[in-house]
Amino acid sequence: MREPGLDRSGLPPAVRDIILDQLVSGSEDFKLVLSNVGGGGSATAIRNEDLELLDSAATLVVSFLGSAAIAAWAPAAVANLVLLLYRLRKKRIPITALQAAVLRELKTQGSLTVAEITSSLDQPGITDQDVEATLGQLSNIRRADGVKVGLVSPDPDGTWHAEDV
Amino acid sequence: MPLPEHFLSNAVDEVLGIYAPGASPLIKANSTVPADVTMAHERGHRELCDTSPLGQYMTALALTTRYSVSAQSGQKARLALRDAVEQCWSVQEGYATLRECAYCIGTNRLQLWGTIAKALPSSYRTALAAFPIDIEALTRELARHHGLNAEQRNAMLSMSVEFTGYVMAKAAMSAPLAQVLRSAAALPTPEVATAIRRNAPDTRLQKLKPHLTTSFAWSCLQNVIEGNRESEETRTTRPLDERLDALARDMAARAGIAYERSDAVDLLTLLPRLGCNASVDHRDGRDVGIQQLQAYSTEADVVGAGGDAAMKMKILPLEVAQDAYAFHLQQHQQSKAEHIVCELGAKESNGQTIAFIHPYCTKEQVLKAFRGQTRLSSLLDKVAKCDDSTAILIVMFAVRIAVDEVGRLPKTFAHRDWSWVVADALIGDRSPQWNERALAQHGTVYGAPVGDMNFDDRVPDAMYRVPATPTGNSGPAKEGYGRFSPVPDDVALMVLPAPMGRRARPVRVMPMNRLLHRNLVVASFPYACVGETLLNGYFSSIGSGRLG
Repeated sequence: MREPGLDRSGLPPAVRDIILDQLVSGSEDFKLVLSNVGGGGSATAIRNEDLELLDSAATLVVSFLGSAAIAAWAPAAVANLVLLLYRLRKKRIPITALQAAVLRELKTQGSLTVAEITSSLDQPGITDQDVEATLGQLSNIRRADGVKVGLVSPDPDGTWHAEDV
Repeated sequence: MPLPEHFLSNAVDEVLGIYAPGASPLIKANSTVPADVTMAHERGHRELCDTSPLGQYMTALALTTRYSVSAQSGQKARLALRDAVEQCWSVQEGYATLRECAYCIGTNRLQLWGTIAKALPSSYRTALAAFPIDIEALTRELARHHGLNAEQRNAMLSMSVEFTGYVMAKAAMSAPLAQVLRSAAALPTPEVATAIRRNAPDTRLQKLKPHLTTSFAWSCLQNVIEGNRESEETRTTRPLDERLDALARDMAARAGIAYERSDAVDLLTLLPRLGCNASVDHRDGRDVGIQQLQAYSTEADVVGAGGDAAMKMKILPLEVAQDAYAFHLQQHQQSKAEHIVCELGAKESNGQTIAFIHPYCTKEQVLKAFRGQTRLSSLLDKVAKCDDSTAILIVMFAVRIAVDEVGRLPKTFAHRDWSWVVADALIGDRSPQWNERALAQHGTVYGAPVGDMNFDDRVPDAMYRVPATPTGNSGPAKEGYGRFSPVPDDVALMVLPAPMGRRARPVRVMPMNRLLHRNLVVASFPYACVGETLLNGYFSSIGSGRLG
């Protein structure tokens, strides 16, 4: 018997609750278990391996952002970063927290330059060079089955955009 | 005989929850919340958007998504809006839910609030907990005022809870934004997004929280009483609004965060810069007459109220419904309905279920059947103006039937075409409340959403405009004075791809004014019937406009 390990990841309860609720509302990914028809409620099941992915996504985000940034970010923003990381890993794309953060900026803001991404990330220690290298990785990332996918692409005007994967 | 409310509630319970293998279920239950209570929630969102700088920017972005000069500007606004919503989700949902609570107190429905509170998703509960108003302490305080009867005390308590929450939420939402918006070369821009994130209302809320005390709540109540009295004299809400603004500014100052008034951001100048071509009649709500303002604040995007009506319907035995159906067919001079849509509810533990029968005829059939009847001439004129494929409901029945006799329904109600509408959650391999294959022998099976109004990212296979009926499901699009009024001009039916291995086609309805592309073809008659059923039937549901 265990609860989803998000409690142990260091995420604040507000972030954890948003993640769990969003997992349910996006229930297509999960089995529906109608355990007590017409009665006292039911559940959406998460497979054990998916729970582990969720735990690891949360832990990666906590260690990437650090406690100060987590406290300074809106809970929904942290939750969505965890969910992005989780969903890509569920698609067997072994993305890192920095890669997820860069991708999230492009997904939430559309086309951006490297400098704009760095500024939007607003994370100490992350430079334009780091972002540029990360974009290069994201444009040609290898899935667990060996197939290469492009999560981002450059535009002719020097900006980058996220691809629908 | 169980009421349909229980049945829908059960159906919803079955889908909203999360279960970790080997652990206790984490239930995300929901229940059938009355429309006026949901309205109280929605009004909370609207108030915060109308009375804060960020809310004004979000309103401008939302208008741009609907009335953009180009698909690109619409898309950019959509992304920027999503990003902004993310920054204030907890403030918005926390306050809107608190407002629901206050409304229930004020309307003497504490028991209902108890039910709603238990059914709240955990993220909403956490958001609500960020507004720690000590209701018991306020109740005790009010009890000391001997001149108040129970109803008056509840009204005061409701006002105190609502306005204290509002002041705190407004303080959280009112981070300075005007300067960065003015200096931005183009909109939306990453600089603005960064500025909003650095002053995220959700993080500001945490700084404000320690300053929400019972004495502050009491002071809010006294200011509201005084502000209301002054507003009665001026016949505008400006005196009350000025008092609330001062309270929010004071609270922000005590929390050590900057504060900006909502009118610092000029909505009208933002619109063209965002690529929005909406023409908005913008007025300062504080200087509009109170009655007009009330009309604005109570207008609602309530399409699909049929669910409430359906739940109040008398449930008939099959034989009685059959006789009534024959009578109505005769009135319409038909031997059978052109199309019947049958909504199926959940299977109940007693082996029964409730089916909602929607028989439709065409515009042409109505005009022919009632031609020359002068007492109906006004209605017939309206029918004549409808689209040819408009689905016109003959009558609607709620029928109780044994689960294993559901196959009898198509044999009982004469029809040309038959469709089933079943909650998404009650069909499929993993939760086979209903067997899709068996149902499909009689007609197409459609899956309706229950509880969850969020549209997923799946690209619809098709989208149609549902033709308006002569009695009208929706009024024309209109601009409320001051702000956009979200009354849908028309409604779209979205047909989503069936999940792998499934037969039921998921269908959704949503107001056209929420779509980027509004030049949709008119639905064919069968789809019009399905659209009408989704709008007015038991599973009637439409995006309620909730943030998040």
